[in-house]
Amino acid sequence: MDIEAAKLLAAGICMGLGAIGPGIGEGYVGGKALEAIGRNPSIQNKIIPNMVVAMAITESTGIYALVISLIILFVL
Amino acid sequence: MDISLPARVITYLGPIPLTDGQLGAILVSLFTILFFVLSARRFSLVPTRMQLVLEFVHDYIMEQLENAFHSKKRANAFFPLFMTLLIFILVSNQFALMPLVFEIMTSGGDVFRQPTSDLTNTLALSLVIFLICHFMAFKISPLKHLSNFFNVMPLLRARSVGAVFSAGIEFFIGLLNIIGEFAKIVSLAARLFGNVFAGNVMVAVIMSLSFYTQFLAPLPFIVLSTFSGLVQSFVFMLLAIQFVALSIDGATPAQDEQISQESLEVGSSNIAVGA
Repeated sequence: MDIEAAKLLAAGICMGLGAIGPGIGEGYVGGKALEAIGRNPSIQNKIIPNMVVAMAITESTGIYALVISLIILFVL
Repeated sequence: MDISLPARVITYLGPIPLTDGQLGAILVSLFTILFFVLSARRFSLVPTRMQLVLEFVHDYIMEQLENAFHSKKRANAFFPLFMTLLIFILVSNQFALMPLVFEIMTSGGDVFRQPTSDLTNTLALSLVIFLICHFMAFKISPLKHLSNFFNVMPLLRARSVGAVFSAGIEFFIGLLNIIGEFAKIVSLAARLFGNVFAGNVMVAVIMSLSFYTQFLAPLPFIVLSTFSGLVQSFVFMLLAIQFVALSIDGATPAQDEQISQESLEVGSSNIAVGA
């Protein structure tokens, strides 16, 4: 296999597999937050910031995958 | 806007290379300093519009800080740092929307670059947070802080085989915390950088697809990356507050009961409000 083709494949596989976990996690966080808001709408202002922070932490593995695939594409 | 991961060196100041990311950071700093000096000159009891906005941001950050530190004095002491962080990241994430700045070119590319789409800048920001965490914790209680990482006390106190075993596990967890501290630096920096850079790459890819996608097609993606830049600037500040508060809590000698009692009270009042 050509080295360029291997790079493109590696970046695509890295990003695709790396997006699965954060996708599941963020869906779970958002769903639970909406559930909590539906149960008690008056504390919406307290839940939303916590939800955003939890989502950002969940997202971090996806961001690592993104950074690695960017490094594969543009630096290596 | 060209896509390149490493920053491009524009000129040399003596032996120090000056990259496009640094030039962008300097431009953003000058812009925000000018803006705040101009808007802070006319503070009055009857607020102007700009003063209202700034007071709203101030109240928001102070609320977060007081929730995290449980002390108004410490929140006041830390406020300037986190306000600066928030404003700098907020402005530099929206810097791509600034007209004309990215038209300034030298041979080879743009002179300015969004500061947060350069990994060295975001690494510098997260290193500042890391150093402040450990400096504050050392200032409060060096021994207590070190015992979070080299946890030898239970090992010395152990009197039976089972106790030695669990103390060994605690010591090992302490060693893992050292790795966790360095993971904090990387994750803070890579999160901000990844989001902003990915937004730029996405817009550039859509624009370079074909001739017809240059004008209206990238608009929703520009809106998306603007929104994620807004969210990420708040997330960076909130996480930085949490990290500093965590390491200060870890070094503060046992007042855990009081804090947990406070949080219990807050929780029960929440339930009361909800009911």
